[in-house]
Amino acid sequence: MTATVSPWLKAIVGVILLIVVAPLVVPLLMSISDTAYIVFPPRGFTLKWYGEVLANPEARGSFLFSLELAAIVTAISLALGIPCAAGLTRYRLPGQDAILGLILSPLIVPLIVTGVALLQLFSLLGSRATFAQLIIGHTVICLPYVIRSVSASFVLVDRNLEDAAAIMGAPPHVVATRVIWPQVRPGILAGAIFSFIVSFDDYPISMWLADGDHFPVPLYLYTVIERSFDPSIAAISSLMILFALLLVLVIEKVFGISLARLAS
Amino acid sequence: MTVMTRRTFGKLTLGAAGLAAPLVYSRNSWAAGKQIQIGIWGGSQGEFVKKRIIPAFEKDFDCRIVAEEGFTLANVGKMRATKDNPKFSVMFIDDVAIPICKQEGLIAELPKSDMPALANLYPRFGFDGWGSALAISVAGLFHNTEVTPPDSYAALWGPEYAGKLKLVSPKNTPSVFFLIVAAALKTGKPFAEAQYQIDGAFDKVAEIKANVQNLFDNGPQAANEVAQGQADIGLLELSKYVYPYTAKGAPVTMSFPKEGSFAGNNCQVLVKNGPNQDLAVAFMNRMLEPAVQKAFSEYAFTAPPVSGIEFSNETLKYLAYPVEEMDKRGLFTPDWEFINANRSAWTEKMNGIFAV
Amino acid sequence: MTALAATFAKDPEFRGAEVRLSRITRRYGDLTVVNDVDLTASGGEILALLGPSGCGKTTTLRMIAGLVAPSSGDITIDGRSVVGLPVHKRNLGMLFQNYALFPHLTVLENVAFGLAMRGVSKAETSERAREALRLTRLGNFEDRMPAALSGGQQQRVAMARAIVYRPRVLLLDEPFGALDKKLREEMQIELRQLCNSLGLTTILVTHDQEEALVLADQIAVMRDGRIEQAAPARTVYERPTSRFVADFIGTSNFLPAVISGESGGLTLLQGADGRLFASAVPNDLTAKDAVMVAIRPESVRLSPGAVPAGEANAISGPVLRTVFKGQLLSVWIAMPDGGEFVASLPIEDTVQSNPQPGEVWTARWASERTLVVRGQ
Repeated sequence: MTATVSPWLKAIVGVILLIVVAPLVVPLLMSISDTAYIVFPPRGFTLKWYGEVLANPEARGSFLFSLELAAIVTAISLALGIPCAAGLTRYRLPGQDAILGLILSPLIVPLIVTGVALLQLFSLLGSRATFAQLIIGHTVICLPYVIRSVSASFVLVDRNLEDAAAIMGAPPHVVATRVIWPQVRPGILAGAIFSFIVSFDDYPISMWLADGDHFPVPLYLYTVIERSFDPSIAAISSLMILFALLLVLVIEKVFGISLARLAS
Repeated sequence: MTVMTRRTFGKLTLGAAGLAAPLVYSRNSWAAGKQIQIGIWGGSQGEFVKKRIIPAFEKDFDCRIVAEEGFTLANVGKMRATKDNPKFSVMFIDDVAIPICKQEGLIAELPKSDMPALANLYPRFGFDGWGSALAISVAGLFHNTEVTPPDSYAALWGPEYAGKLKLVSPKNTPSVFFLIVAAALKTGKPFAEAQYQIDGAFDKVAEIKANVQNLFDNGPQAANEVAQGQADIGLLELSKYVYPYTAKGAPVTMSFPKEGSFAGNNCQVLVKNGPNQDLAVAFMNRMLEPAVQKAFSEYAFTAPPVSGIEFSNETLKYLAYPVEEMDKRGLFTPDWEFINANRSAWTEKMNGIFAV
Repeated sequence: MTALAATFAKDPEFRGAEVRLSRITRRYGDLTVVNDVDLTASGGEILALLGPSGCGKTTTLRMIAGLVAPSSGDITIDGRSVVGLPVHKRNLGMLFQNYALFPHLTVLENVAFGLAMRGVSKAETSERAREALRLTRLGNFEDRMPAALSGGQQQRVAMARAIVYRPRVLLLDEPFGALDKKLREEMQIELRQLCNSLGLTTILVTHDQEEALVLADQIAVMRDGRIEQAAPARTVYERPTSRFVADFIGTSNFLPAVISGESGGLTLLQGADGRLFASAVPNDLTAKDAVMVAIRPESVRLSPGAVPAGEANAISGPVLRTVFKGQLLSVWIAMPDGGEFVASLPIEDTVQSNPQPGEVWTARWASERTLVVRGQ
């Protein structure tokens, strides 16, 4: 805490941050270019591309749809993932490794394969409910992230603390809320963020399951790139970057969890 | 759920009324309330289909067309995955995939009697009744307007182009056009014969490596980079990805060397056992109607596959139309069945040559 | 500490509870971890469960706490069976080896936890928690987080937290294991004073015989899930009933012997090489039992020369080596049968007589210091 940081370390961290952040600045700069096509460095200054994107009902529709999808998927992934992670880490169950392997398997297979397999399955089942299909498909790929991150925090839970609380008179629900929850909260939040972002950014699953009425942002972005490569693409990318940034800030403010703690 | 409701589309269809065929309302009442899913392309063509053609059609038929933008391989994949219980009724794919779809039993023959618009289709774009072309692009070179393009592909192998070319990635269909060009230059034969001798032409392919700055797999992006002067010439790409920039004033355009050009045929097929086939057929017919074809072609700078459409001279600069003009330009359509059978082996060889 | 006792004295009703275990057994599958244990801790008494790791002492403590359910048998606290009563309703206090402080709560919040669970008003909770902290000399640390405290300070927080709500029984699970020796000894004395002055019934689990001797009124030595011997601390040391206990508590020389008779309150024994022993320590062993004579090194007096034949409670032989241990000098003597016999001399005695390796010396001990224990 009070240890002095060597200037070398500071310099290295600075360089790493620069490498990470610099590519994110490029679309921001390209998005203000007053040209009909993308140039870097930008020529002139205009915000018209943002206006164009924000006024475009297709773009807005896709963005809102992706938000809705990611929020629902995250809620379901947490509802399924937290009890599952708790069960897998706190009890010895027969076939535990097999269960974990099964849950994580969607991350081992290329997502594009998972996506086409799901489409085939839904087709055989005769399902036409695209929205439900997308929710299931995204949950399949978000759940592993939630379970991995929540499991990691459950593994670190000190069981002695629960015993101590119970001995001091805390009934099980109080132990859960006042002792276990504070210990696993960072892991759950990290899982929620991963889940939200994985769903929000997903292309390969959505590509198979989406239809014209349920068209998430990454698919939209791809079609726009094919339409014309003008700075409105950079504007959309910038908006997505800013949105992710906003998400992180909101989480820090609302939940009082610093990113440093999430990373640790 | 989504704001892309029918009503919003309606607002976008400025001037789309002209696309509606002069049909009597009551005749279409059978379609009322029906819905189909169709898979279309992205890009400016997809945009036009979605914002202009579909809203007008929905209005005329009181039906709902849900269009998802995708690309040929994904659309074929979706048809395969849902073969037993099709989700889509109409698919837009490139001609390259039609033999595959036919062989796998994914598509149905078009019912000629229910599609009066087929009457004007040039026979070469009919695929024996297993689909129809919708738009013909020409594939050639694209170059920065400050560069004078060569009149023969052979010149691109010369030392003056060292590091100045962008070559289409083996992932993309126009890569096959490049292989045919290489085989034609090696053998001195026309494209129609050279396409069967590609296997012997990879030494010619390798010789151009020194001139290739990098491979591209996104045509619009590559055109944009050439416009910015990052490379002199790109080869080969379909006009539909390049001309929209030219028309917007970007310093990039196309040229067609003397050896000939290639036709990129964007097509529509009817999904076998897809829902509401009658509505699907009606929509496919609409896509070929003259008013639609004219507007569609003018928007995307592609040539229509049907006869009898009038274009302004300004537009005709970008189109190889009518069919006589296509022949004059030596517009060549490869033997896709032969090419598809060999494509993956060629892709591997290309990857071997251009691997970093 | 006496001030703390004073605050507890405000509650004249308070006294430690009696804890009684009757035929308690705990099995895990085929493994019997605790086997038919009977044990009683009287009100206000400090009882140590002492034994090597794996002897079942921690499981026994956890059964008292309610963290582990017994497979059979009964546990009563003040005569009332608590088997089946959930942990949080047993009104116990417990100190854990790693303190188990809540890392996300401040020191004050940690101490207040048990009071809050008992529905004590906010104002009173805060007042009593502060008081407990002042009394454990942590008054200035209320707002610190546990991670910012030293091991000893954390131990004090844990102590304040365990007693602040006046539990009837305090359970300690190897509470000083993580502290260094000097601090450990300090804390042991403090804890002993605290428990005594509060009148808390305290049950302590330890593998450290010295800790058990310092802290406990009663010691129950456990071995393989059973009670080997349960008795007042001093009795366990002075009159171990088995070789295991004699070996675990303190060190002993063990000499094989058989009981040959009894005479005038003395147990007579015959050892190898015709050696004779007489023990004045009471035992309930007979000639049929396999026994050993156990002699503590510190019970032995040394003198130069060989032992005359026929003398009881004596052994002689050449000195093998000597080791200086500060207050004591340990001397190893070779026995005729090849074994070694160790004696500890107070260092002052070595001024008079200083055994050197190679010299023949005789060890003698009193019949009051001749222990007869079960075992081989």
